[in-house]
Amino acid sequence: MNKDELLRKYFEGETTAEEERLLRDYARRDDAPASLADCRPMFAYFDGEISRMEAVEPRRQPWKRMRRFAAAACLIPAALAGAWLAYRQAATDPCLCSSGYVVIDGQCYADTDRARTLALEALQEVATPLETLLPDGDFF
Amino acid sequence: MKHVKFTTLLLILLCLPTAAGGATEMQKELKIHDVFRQYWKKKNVTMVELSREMLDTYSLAHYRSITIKGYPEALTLVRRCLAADQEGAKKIKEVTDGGEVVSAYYQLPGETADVNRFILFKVGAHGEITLVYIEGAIDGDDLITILFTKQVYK
Repeated sequence: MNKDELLRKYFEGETTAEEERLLRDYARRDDAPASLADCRPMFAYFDGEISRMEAVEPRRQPWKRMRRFAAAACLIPAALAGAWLAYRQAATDPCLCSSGYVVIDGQCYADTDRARTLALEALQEVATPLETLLPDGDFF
Repeated sequence: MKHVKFTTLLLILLCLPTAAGGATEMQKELKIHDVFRQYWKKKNVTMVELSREMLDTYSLAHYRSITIKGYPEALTLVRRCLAADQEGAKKIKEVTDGGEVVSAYYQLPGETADVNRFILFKVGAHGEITLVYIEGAIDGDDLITILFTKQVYK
């Protein structure tokens, strides 16, 4: 492929990285054709940018680049563990957001008054036999 | 400094589930909680839970009760759990009928010296089960007051 054809491909955005590197090399030469020589400032600019980026890149230490991945690697299991614990807790305690609730036939009611009443009923139910069987009150 | 903050945040996030898990395990160490877990959403079962906000006046931290009707097999589970939980109890009072526990009271140590945990249990004439779990900075006398004072929780 001749240089003009390569240059056309370049402006069409069809060149590979290797072909672009070749084009930049051709453009640097003193015997470069006029069409490539005209592109020299543009290639020089790109070369400068590439050099600048390559100079900046090594400054980033590998552990710093890994930090984001490490954080994600730690946070994802932590989030999953949290979600699992919340699910497990929810399976046991159905109305987590309520300070008092009652579950009747599997239906949860975040009704504190009803919860109070039923709590009292349950307490009286368990208290009655102890009171009856041990009337002197010395049952504890 | 930025790195220190990041590491601190990461450690906190990693420790949170562990701490939460530990707290959860503390609440579940008694076997009777298996009864709550297995039966709370079944038909003919009523479960009540009151948290510290509602019970603070009585120095109670936690109240939980369950009433189970029509599940004779639950009685076996409850009695098995009670037998396991009464080990290490400070006080035990049981009423038996035909060798089986029909009502019971257990006082167990809590997480700290001033905290007690109480289990109260009764089987009704028709086999209905009532199981109550109470936790708080109270002793047996305080619980008597709660049990026999009808104005409780007001």
